Amino acid sequence: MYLLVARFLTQKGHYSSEKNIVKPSAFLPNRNRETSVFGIDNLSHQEIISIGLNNISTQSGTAPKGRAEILTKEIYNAKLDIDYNDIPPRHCNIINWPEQKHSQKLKALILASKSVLYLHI
Amino acid sequence: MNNYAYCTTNYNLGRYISPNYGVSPASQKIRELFINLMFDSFLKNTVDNIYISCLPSLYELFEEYSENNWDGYGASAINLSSYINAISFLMALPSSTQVPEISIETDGDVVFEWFVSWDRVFSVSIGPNCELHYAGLFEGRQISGLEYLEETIPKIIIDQIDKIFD
Repeated sequence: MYLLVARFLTQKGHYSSEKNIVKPSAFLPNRNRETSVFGIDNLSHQEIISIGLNNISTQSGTAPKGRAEILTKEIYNAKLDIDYNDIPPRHCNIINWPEQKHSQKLKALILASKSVLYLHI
Repeated sequence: MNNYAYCTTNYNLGRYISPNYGVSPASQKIRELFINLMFDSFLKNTVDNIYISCLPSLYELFEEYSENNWDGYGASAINLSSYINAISFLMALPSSTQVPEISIETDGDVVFEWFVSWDRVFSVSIGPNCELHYAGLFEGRQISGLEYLEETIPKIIIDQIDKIFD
């Protein structure tokens, strides 16, 4: 169980540094209706960046450009759930996404509105 | 599909260009001038600024997101139908519409977003089947739904975009 999770942002289209916001599309689930996040309670900025580098960059070929941090209570408030699978360590999935895409978009909007953007520069 | 092919297909400009034109140099020149005139008119009158503003960034996205797993989480690439439908969506927006931010979603759909604040935000995405999935937050209300892009954009979507900036 974590109080705070991070969604690593690999695309510049998933945030706006000008407006200092995370965009909803950053939270949309994959085809399995899961959004991958990492628990980051009690970690320093550098430790969080390391998690992103070790777990995300090897897949996409590029290092995460930043992250969206969100309290897990906001995820539950949006009527979503979290699977704390810990594979790899600290990994979780946001689950219980609705089937219809427009409903997913609305929940992604809500999550984005409750998240905070941190850029990895 | 080049611009000319797109315009003639989607706006039926081809009906103005008779296949029975002459073959003399003068006829060819007249036809060339006529086509240029049609394009100038098309760009000035039919295609409004929002299209002109957004098309380059849309094309950049099409190139950048043309392979699967572009996000490291298994995202789908944008496909040509989604790209063309996104262009049709832009062309169908009223000229008074504010310029949206454009990006690609994990399923390869193109998303148009209008953001003023987290209490005034609207997002609509379009994919290969002309489905328009929309969602928004507006002064404490949550809206979402599914419409289809046909000859025009459904009124409910235009109204929601306008409300964001009222």
